[in-house]
Amino acid sequence: MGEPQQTIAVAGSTPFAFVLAGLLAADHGRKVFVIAGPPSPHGVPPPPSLSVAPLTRPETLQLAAANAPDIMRRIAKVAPAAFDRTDLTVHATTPYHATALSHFRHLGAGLGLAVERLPSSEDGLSLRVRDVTRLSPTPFLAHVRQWASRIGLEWVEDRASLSIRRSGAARLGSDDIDQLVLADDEAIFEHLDPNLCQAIGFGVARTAFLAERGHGLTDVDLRLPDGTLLSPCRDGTLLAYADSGDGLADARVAASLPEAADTRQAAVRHYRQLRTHDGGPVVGMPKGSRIYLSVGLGMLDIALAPVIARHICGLGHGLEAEWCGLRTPGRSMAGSLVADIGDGEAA
Amino acid sequence: MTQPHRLGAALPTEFETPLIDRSRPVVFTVDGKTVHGFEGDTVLSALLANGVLSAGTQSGHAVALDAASAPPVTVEGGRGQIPMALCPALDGAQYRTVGLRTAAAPLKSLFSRRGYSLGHDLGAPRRPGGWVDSESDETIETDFAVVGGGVAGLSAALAAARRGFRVVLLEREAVLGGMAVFFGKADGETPPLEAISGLVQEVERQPAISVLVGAEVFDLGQNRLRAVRVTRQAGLPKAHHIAVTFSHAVLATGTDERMPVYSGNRLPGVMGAAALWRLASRYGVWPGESFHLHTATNAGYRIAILGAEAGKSVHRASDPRPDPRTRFIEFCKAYGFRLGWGTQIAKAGSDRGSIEVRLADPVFGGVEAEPVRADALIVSGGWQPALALWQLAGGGLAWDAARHRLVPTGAAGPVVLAGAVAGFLGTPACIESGAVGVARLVGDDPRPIADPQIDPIYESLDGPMTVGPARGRRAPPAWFGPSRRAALAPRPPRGLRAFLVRQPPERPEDVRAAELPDVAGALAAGVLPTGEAADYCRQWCIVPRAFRRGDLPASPDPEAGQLPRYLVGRFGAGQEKWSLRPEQDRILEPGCLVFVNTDDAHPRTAIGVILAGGRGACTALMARTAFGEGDVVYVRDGTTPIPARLRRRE
Repeated sequence: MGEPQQTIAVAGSTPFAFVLAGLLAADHGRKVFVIAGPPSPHGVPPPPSLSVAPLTRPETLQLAAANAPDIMRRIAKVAPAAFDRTDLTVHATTPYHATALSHFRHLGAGLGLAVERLPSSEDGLSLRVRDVTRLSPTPFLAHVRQWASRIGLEWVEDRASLSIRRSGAARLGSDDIDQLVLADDEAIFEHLDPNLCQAIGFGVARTAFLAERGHGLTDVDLRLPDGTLLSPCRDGTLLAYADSGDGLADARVAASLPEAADTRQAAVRHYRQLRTHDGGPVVGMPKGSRIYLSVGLGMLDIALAPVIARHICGLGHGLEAEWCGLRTPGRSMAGSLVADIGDGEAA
Repeated sequence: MTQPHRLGAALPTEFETPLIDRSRPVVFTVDGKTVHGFEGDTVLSALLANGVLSAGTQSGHAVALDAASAPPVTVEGGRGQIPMALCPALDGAQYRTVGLRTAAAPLKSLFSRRGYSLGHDLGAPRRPGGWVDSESDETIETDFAVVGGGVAGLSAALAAARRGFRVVLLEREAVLGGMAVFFGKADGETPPLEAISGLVQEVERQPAISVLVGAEVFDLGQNRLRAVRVTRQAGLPKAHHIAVTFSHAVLATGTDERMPVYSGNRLPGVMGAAALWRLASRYGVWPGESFHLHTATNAGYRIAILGAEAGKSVHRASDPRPDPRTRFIEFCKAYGFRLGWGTQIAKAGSDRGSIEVRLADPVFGGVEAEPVRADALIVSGGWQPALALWQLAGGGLAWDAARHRLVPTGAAGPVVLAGAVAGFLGTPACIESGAVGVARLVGDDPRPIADPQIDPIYESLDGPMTVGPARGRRAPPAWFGPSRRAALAPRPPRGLRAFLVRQPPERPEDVRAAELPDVAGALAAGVLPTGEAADYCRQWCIVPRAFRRGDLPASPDPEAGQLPRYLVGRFGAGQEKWSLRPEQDRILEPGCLVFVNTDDAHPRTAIGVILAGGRGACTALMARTAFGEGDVVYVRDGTTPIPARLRRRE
């Protein structure tokens, strides 16, 4: 008689959560429950995932570069329309962020990325990263349910059926779950003890816009100081994401749009993002809890999903194990050895 | 006759007191073409009276001119855009419509009916009126804002004023009263006209109530609403943007007319029964001499009776309900109309100025062989509570599958619903709901509202929203709603046809903010899962604002002068700062990586990084190594390794 199959519940409704659940089931033979509402291609989607992001820790970029091609090829089989190649333009408008971006530029060149400098203001720096692979959530979400049933994921739409004890031990209905993974910010805000949450990071109000055609952008466009992200879609529309705690989200998007842009808001979604205190990712279990967290992977989330899946299953080794080990939730956030210039990180 | 669609002298009582003054004709131009009308007309009503029935084309098919498709107008000598449905028709004025026009096609225009269309390209990216993005011209502060001047709104305004509150009452139409007259009355009820007259007189006597007619509320947020109202400035119409700040608001916005989904449902000549009633009763406009009525509601039969009384010919009255019962049907029988039940529209098409309707065969299925031809197709598809403002105020929505409509859920802070939008049907209940809404807002215990209905044995319930079968790509679209944002996907060609007949390209999705009737159409058609109705409306039913540029707070520049935190521990716990001197005359910028030899280039093998550069000297963050002062390391700037000599630790 073999050992009983380990059960894992992945809570989260982003493409990363679904891909992580899929990897745990398909590659690691776990019995996986996805705790999320029905995936919908009709809403304003979460930000896209990219094969490259402006970061300053070479090991993160190296892991992403090593894992991105394979995972993206596999997802492309599920949802071919979800992937495309684009350029990424990154702007830094403060000396601090310009310096950070300069560091990224040289790291990127060392890793073989085509990173070019663009004309920009005196204090600022703008870069273009050529030939970035992008996963657009909407076409992926349209196929995810079919794919989930094919690889044996069990979908649990009733989120109330998940109960979590103080220790982090979880039950789904009346069944014990061996491991609970909170795979996106919404799931963390919903299920994690607020004290643990505060120890890791802080919540930021964000707004996602879908804008009509007429924006005039061709590249994915990211502003480092405040994390305003514009992602032009293939149908000519635009997805835009900006901080909205001060009610200035649309002004931030307007500031990122070309002068001649003639576009309007078509749909809006408000959400909260969990930003880590040191700007670096957090993966693993907090001290005294059995809940596995994954926070702050940013646009590299899909590229790093195989690393996280192996870490959950205890199979990470070498650089991966070291990378995950340094990024546990229990690390000291002051003087952190893995601090990074996180998405929208300003202080 | 220059106004072929103006009703003649023989009029039913309901149409006898329009807003127009037939003794005072006006002549003006729209896009250079002469239009005749009467004082009291709007530009839209005068255009319709003159036979301009189409706003333009979308997806290759003509689209009916109505409040949803009418482009904003500008007036020569005036400023800004004005909503066409609110803009008064002034003698001698020169109006221009705003929007892209279709390219001139001389041959096509030779055969088309002259002056029939405004010629707009409605498939082009749509722009809302300029008032959506403008700053308000005036801000009014009040205790109670009441949106909607029907019986429920009038009653709410009175109830609030009687309690000593200041009230602003905003009504989209040029006249108070709403649609109660159209819906008629039940036995024993006060006639709606009488009830309205009493309420209006009382409102006029209340100094605490400011009435703004012709004011369309298009945005509602935190204790603030925005409306556009057409006023006159130096004799010319101007869109006046009003902001109203309030402590409490009552939304008595009534219902929108639902539109069954079938191919050709927005062709010129196709009209909603309620929209037609408004046009006829307020402006004496009725397109064509004959019509086909298709109604899933009892009120719809009234329009057939009123049309017959106005001298129009009813070619057919059809109803998707299998056995509809209403007293109005008995009147229709008395008039001798040809009635057909249990049938829905399979498709509609334009045929030399008339509408050709093919009905689905109620007995054998398929499509009836003999089409019904008439000048107009009047459709009454039921009612969708006008919840757009409720939703903007933060109220919830849910799909009522039994009644095929979105219904309100939850609460919206200081905003309540009253009247038909809250689900009340009878005029007395609507009146009472206005007063009860005010009571609820001020914290009184609201009394229950009785809304007795006639037994369905005598008065059938409204039928469900019908969705016709998908047609080929060449057929006119089956739009989900009046704003024509999305349509039923066309049926793909089958068999040999798929290979032999060249199909027109697929229609690109028109991605823009949605309106509730369009969402209701998509839900009824099963295109949108009903479980997503609330989320979808919350995300898509928004005011389509432009992204406004504005002052942004300066981004903080953290850690100036310190080691950036993203470099802490980058080269191990013992990392240290060194001063370097490049062996070449070169400025090294921050981020250039330092290696032990010229072969290395991978960032993971770097032993340091330049922190700050300058000509002749720079600072680097280095791993603790065996290198010392005077040793040479290699700084990689792009692809070039540059030797640099270590000078001293800092």
